[in-house]
Amino acid sequence: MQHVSLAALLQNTRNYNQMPIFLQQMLKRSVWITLFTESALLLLFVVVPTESFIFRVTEGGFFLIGADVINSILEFGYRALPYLALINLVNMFVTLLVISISLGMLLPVRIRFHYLAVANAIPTGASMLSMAFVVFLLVLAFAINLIIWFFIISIVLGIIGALLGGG
Amino acid sequence: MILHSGPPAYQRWLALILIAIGWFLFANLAGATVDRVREFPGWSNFLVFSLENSDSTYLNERSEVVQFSSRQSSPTATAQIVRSIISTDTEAPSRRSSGTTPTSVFNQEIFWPPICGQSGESHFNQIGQRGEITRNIRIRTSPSNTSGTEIISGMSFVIIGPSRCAIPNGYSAEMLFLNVRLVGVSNNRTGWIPESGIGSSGTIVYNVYPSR
Repeated sequence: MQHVSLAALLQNTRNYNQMPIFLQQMLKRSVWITLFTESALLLLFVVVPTESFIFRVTEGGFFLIGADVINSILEFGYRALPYLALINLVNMFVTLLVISISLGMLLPVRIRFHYLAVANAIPTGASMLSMAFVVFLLVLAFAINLIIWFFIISIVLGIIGALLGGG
Repeated sequence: MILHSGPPAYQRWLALILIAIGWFLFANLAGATVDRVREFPGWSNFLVFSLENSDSTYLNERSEVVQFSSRQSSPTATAQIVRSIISTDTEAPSRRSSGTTPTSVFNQEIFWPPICGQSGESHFNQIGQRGEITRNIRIRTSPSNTSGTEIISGMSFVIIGPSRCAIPNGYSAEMLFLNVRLVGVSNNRTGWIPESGIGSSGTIVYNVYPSR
């Protein structure tokens, strides 16, 4: 039996734990979340019919104000969709690469793959944030119109109530 | 002494299966995503590398753009035959009118072809009907013209006359062309636009839709 000294053993070992444990755990979660987010976004992009992307609103119906702003936001989203989809597609490839190399996060990997995973999470996070911002603006425009309608209905009901009470 | 030798075998197998499913999903999503991206205005030639479109390729906006450069310079044998058969301004009869409608009636009456050889069912059948352009297409001075001014999606138009089935010069596909006037353009440009074509996947792709 050949005996190896601890010093020799250490010289021949690779240090994979160059990152704090809690960061590693966060990174693992981030990779899985990125994968699921990308898959869901791409599935939505593929499944939703093209006609839905060109949906526009007109003033005069529910939307009393801000139809132009809403249409501009929708148009911006429509123009940005191909870029977002392709970025997500590339990201999904990188994510799957990281997961394959680490065998589903079961095996330790070199530090460069940790950096790759971090870099990979950034565009997905950015696209999610931008989409969330666009949705927020749309919801805001919807809410403003809803409030206006609420005031209009309140005033009309108030006038009717005053007329009936006065009569 | 027991050395930890990595994850258990079943976990490895499970991971391998999940990874295989992931790559399978990616492969399918990649193709579908690229196809979908091509439907957006300005992306119709995205990742289209083949310049040797066969003449049996159905006309769509993608092949139209590619053929634009390749066919004009070196038309294939079939294209030459088709060109020799089709005169410079030939308008092909529609699928339903061919063989049944006399030429004189076809010329004298206002006829709205509901469908043409390589087009989808038309959504337009009356003058004054409004529509929206959803893909980058060309507006032409005549249905048989291959050249025209490119117009981007998002523009609106009004139907100003009956639509026609026509085979543009150099093509083998019969398309349904709408006679339109663009709305919101300074000079109120009028011309002909193809309502639909057949995409790479063999399905009908509409370039325009009626306004809601």
